[in-house]
Amino acid sequence: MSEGFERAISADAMTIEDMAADWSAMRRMSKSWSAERQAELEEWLARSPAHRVAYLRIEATWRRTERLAALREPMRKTPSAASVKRIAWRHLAAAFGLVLLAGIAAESYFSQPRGQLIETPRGGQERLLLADGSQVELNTDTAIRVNLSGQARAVELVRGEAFFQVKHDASRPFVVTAGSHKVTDLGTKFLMRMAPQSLHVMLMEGKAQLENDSSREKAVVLSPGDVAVATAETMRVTRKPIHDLSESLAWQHGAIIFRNERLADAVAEFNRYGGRPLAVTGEGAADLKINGTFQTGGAEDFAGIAHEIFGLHIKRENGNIVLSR
Amino acid sequence: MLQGMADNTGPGFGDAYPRKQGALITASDVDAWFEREILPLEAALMHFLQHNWRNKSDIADLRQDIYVRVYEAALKEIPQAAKPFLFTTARNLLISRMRREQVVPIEAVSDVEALETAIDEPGPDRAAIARDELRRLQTAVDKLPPRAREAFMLRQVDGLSGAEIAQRMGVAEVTVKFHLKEASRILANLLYGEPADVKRPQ
Repeated sequence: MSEGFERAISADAMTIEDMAADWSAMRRMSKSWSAERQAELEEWLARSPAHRVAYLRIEATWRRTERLAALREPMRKTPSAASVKRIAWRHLAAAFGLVLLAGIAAESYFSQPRGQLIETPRGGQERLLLADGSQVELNTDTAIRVNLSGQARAVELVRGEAFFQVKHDASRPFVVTAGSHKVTDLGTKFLMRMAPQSLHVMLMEGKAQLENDSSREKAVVLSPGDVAVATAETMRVTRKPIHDLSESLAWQHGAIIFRNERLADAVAEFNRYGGRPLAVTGEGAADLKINGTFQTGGAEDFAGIAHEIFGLHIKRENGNIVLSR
Repeated sequence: MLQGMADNTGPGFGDAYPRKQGALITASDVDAWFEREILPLEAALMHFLQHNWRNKSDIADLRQDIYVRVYEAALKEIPQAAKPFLFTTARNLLISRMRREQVVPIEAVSDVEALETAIDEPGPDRAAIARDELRRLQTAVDKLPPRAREAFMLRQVDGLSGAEIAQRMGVAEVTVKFHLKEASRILANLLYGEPADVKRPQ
């Protein structure tokens, strides 16, 4: 699916590591690993020794931690002990009701006549295959409402960020609304993100139309590479190389990529993913420019790097990490 | 259950590369050597990189590049002594990076000569690792975020599949994968990238 984008950012060790972790996790989750999947894995490994060493390292970690099972071996011999343990785990699971709800929502929304709300928690991600064959990937702290039963295919972006790959159907347009804004697909891949005062739409492939119901501004037709920033009154479109746009999808691999980003904006980006909140204070610190690839949820590492590069002080206040000059 | 590279469906099995002497060296030999000899040196390697490269955000990339070079060299001939080979490779890479980079941190340049001596940095004591392995694994697992730990333990201790874990945790399978990936990446860094004996009680 997003093959082209994966390749575009594959140079980063962290992204390769993420893909290696993806393969290892998928292999261990599956009950019957098919010959086809194995062939795909081997093809990926053969593509570069960088893939292979990253995979070896993650695999070694999985194997090494198998020893943990041995710790519990005596308990497992009696069935009652095993079932007690299962119950304990279930209680643990129940403690995280919120995520649980999101999971149930994802499973049952096909059967809901009215648009069903699908949410991801902070730091979460979800990939949805819709009944019409379109795909939606939700980033952290995101909510959408899907209703495919009407004349048009309607999705509402309630909050957060989502990447859409729409199966084009001229007779049933795919319409994504966000507040008063409306994106109508003309056969596309696009990323939509709601910021507090604006909506960002990036078009990777195909064509889409963006309009604002509550403004007199004309609808604009977006082409690949277009980045539209729409506020309540205005719409501004700039063109970027597709490679730059693909970096905006690094979250699909658990990464954030900054190119000449203001420190204050970078910190805000990190905070979207939960974990320990970061803050920047002090004259001029917010405007320092940062580059690089980071792990979503790697706030501590990020603070360490900011300290290292800019000589910023790191303070911990009420569970927050405060960076200052 | 498919686990490990040694099983017959594992990737790389039977891939043969010509060896200098005419004998054959297989990718799975190199994989096993890499896991046995190189990965346990990662903590020492990270220590070395952190002390000799100023830009910390490069370190994951540097480690990866060093591993690639070591792995590719081993496909031709497995080095006799892993540790000197790894650190010579690391040193050469750092030096060539410094020469190539347009912007070289002053500190990094001044450290080039220190690279030679840093190679004798003591790595983790293997006997200590073996003795403390289980405790170390538990300590590492305890550091995982709660949901990632839960998913990981259900897989590694209870041997559940992705679908079973999803059902147990009440989440979609993609979310299970997300947690397992996070767990495996954090554990790789904790188990290989950090020294074994940070908080060993006396």
